[in-house]
Amino acid sequence: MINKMNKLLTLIFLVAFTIIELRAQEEASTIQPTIMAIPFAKEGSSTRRMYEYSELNRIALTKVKEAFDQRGVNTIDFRAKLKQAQNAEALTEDQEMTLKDEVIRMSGADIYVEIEANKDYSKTGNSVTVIMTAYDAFSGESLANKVSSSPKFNTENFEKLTQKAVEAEVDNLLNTIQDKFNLMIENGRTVTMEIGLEIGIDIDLDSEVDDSGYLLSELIEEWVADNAYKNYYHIQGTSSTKMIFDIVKVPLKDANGRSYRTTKFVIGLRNYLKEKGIKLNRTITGNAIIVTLSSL
Amino acid sequence: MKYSIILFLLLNIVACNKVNMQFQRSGSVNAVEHENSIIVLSSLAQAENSDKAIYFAERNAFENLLFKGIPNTNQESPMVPNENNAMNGNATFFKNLLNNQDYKRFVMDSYTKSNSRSNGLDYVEQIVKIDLRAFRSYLQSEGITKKFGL
Repeated sequence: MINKMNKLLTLIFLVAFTIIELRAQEEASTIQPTIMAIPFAKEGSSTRRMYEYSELNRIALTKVKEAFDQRGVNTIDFRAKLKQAQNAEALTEDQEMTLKDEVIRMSGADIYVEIEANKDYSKTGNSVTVIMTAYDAFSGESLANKVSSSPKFNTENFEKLTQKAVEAEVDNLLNTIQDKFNLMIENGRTVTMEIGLEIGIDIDLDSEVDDSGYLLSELIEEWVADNAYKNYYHIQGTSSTKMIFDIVKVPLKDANGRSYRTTKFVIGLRNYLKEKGIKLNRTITGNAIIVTLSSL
Repeated sequence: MKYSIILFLLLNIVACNKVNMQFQRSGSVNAVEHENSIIVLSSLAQAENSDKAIYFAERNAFENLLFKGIPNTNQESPMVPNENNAMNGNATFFKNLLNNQDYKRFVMDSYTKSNSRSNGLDYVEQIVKIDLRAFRSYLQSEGITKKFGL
């Protein structure tokens, strides 16, 4: 009897342990992206000015960050990164304009959300409208847009109105971003690839480089078709000197569950072309791959 | 004696014909208000008695929130992206949550705004206030939905 009980307890323990282990693995496989809220700066004005001179923008940014934090999202403080990125006195006017890119690059944020807050005055009451636009920092692709207005109140307490406007839509903003993530997990991430030739190379993309009877461009396309995630790609155009893939899907994670790096995709193409006697040089910026081919 | 048998049979027939309504999800769930992590919903349902109608209305509110989303609120998209997959893989969880009324843990307030009886059925409009943040965390901790991320 005691023996049976022991067996049963061991079985229960094993089942419980397996469930906990599976949950932990699932949890660990979710990449938690970092998000940074930044003020929207229109043409001709700098991000820093939009933050420092607009109290409403500062409130909106803080409220959005608060809302993200409450939802358990990893956030990056824009103010801290701004301070890190700038030495205000030393920045020229042109540098001010590129400060946004610099802050995003330095922050390491996966997503940045541009926030624009505006006061609306009316006889029936005041309100605040907040525009929130989320972008993938890697590709610059827009992930979600939300416009939210607070209810009208006879008040000058714009902080409260901003909070109301943000709270009304911030969950939907995150839900829409999550929907996009789910699509990315299913369909992969989009990268673009432009293939060109080094000046002076004695072959072009219309040359036959092996005994298969295919042109170099056809061989490259075949390789991309085989190696794109779920074999999904799209060619914008091909000529004897240039090939432009405007969509090549790559997976989000590799076979080991780690983040898939774009370089990995290019390494495969480089090794393939090496066998054909062609050298591949590449530059990768965000989701854009620029490839230059030359002879080995 | 003859009349008693007829009466007995008639009563049996009436008893057998008594309505036993099963829950059916409907879209009759509307947003009353929402702020931050709380959502207040108005849900309509009917059943043969008011207790059952209230249960149906509350369950309807939760099922709409889970599988459909509520327009013009802070939860416009469904909390569970794929109902079939979720239901198939977590039948016991959803049975406890919905059939056994485990959802009540996340109900901050629930009251009947209106109640009427017609054709042997009770029609209720139930106002249900839900702690959305706690509910979302619970779904995540149970592995029904995943945390924000890739």
